Amino acid sequence: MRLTAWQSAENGLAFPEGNLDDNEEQRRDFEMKPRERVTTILDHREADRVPVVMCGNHAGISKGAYEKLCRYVGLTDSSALIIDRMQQIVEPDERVLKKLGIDFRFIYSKPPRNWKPTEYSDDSYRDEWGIRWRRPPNGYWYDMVDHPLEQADVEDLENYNWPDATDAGRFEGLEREAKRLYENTDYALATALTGSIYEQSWYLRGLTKFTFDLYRNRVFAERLMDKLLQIHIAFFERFLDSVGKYVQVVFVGDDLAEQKGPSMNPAIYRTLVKPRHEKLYRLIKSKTQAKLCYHSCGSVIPFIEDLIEIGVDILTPIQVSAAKMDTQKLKEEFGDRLCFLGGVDSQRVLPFGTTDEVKDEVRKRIRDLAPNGGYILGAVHNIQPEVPPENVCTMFEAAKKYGQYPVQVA
Amino acid sequence: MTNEAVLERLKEAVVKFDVDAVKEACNEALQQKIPPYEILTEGMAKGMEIIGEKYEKGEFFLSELIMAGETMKEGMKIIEPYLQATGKSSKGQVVLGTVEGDLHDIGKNIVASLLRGSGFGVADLGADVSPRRFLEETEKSDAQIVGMSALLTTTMVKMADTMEALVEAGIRDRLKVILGGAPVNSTYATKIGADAAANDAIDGVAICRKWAGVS
Repeated sequence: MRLTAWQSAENGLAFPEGNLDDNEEQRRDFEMKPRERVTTILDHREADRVPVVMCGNHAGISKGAYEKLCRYVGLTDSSALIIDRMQQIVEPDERVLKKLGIDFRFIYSKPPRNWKPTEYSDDSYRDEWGIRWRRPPNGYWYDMVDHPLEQADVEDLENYNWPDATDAGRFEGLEREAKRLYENTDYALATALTGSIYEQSWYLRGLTKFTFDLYRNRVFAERLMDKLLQIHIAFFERFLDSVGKYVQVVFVGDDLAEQKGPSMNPAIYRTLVKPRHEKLYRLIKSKTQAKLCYHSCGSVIPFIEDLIEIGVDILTPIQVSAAKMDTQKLKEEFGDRLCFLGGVDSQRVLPFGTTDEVKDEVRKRIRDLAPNGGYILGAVHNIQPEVPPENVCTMFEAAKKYGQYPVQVA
Repeated sequence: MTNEAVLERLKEAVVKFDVDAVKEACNEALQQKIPPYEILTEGMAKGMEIIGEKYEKGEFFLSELIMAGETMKEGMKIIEPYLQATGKSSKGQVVLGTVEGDLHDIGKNIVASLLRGSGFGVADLGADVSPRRFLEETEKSDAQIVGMSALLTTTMVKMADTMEALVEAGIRDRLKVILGGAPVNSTYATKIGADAAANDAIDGVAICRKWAGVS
């Protein structure tokens, strides 16, 4: 039974009948618009082909890789707009996105109206939360060099200079922009990742100190996470009032794992972090029909059931180079309840592999994850400066070639 | 309470990350005139071994390694002055740091705590450490082991520069050099002439212990 691709012909498109496997012509005739392709896939149905992503602040491309890519495709007049300073991630030029067949466009909230980061002479800055980030010479991105709440006690949390989540500047023009993209383009629209509770807590506190709080100073840990929860709820209420009806995917996340396994004990997650995630995700889902996409690097297997339970629809970036992140098994165990976004190895294959290895990698991920829908192909996390442009182009060409439904990758 | 019972309590307290109990047990052990070095190796380090085993088995995670490091740090504060006073030699001196251009120090910090808790003396140089700084500290502290950490494929090349500095200064042969961090492995260690690459903090400590002649 390989008719599922064509069963998605519910939107008034006419399809020829017959043996579809044998009919290349018919397959080429049938092409979905990106938004329809994505929503079909996210409903766990097969579309015309596997959708692809290379934008946003966690499924996108770094400045270094992007500049090489532009030169490679002969785009000399592209000015890259940095959309995430810390990670040095750019919003690709519309021509690049079109050329690679990217199905998504992203919506980013803005900085507060009268706020600017504090700049220092050593290529460091202080962000809205009061955290200082520094980039080492020739570094790819900025790293935290201090944690403003490291010495704080519970009382200090009340007096801290928290970001104003509802500052009108954050939402200026967003509704108009989202409406324009929704009405004048066919792309799937997504909001960039925000809403981190656990990670933001340790960014503010320092990892060692916050880990200690989770085990031995719970009043502080819970109060800090509640502060962040309040801030994120206030933000998403306003943000989704503006863009909620136009977007198909909302990115959230908190890194819970590392290369070998969970970075925090799942029991601690369940007791302390998960209830707060759940509150935030419930609010988001009350404001939009969009699917919820959760980002966590690393080997996240022990958390997946929990994430599904609290409303996560899509998991990203599927760090296949981490322990036990076997895409075939992930699909088998969770594929009927969870979609996957990412999956093309960025630790070895994309930066150091040959184009043939990139093709094999794309085929493998499509074979494992794409049947019955539920898979959006992209790099595992943002594409880093070491990735050769040949490999970026090969990834998306291969995705288009092998990602045709019904999946026929051996 | 017998000496064994106090050391057992100390071990248990480390495994439970019970900082108050660790402090109490350390003080009690000192009152009972247990040699400070034994408090460390037969008490806290034994607790650490259990934590390492649980980590290897997947029962404990990075968060527990951090907690173990923090818990032992509190115990070390109490016994360290006595350790120095008795002049009992440690398992060896380690110079540790994240290499130049790299500010990632979470893993390196855990390694520092765990090495100290295992009886090593550690000179932790922090992050963004130049080859010259590694060399200076190694010469100054007369260390037997140099540990370098890097998170990035772009910064791990500084490990080779540091190796070169140690060779040029003529002290390479009296040292063991261990690498740690996501991008490094034993192939890379061999390539740049280091002695080992650790898979994780627990593995790194085990390698250092082996070098120090502890089973």
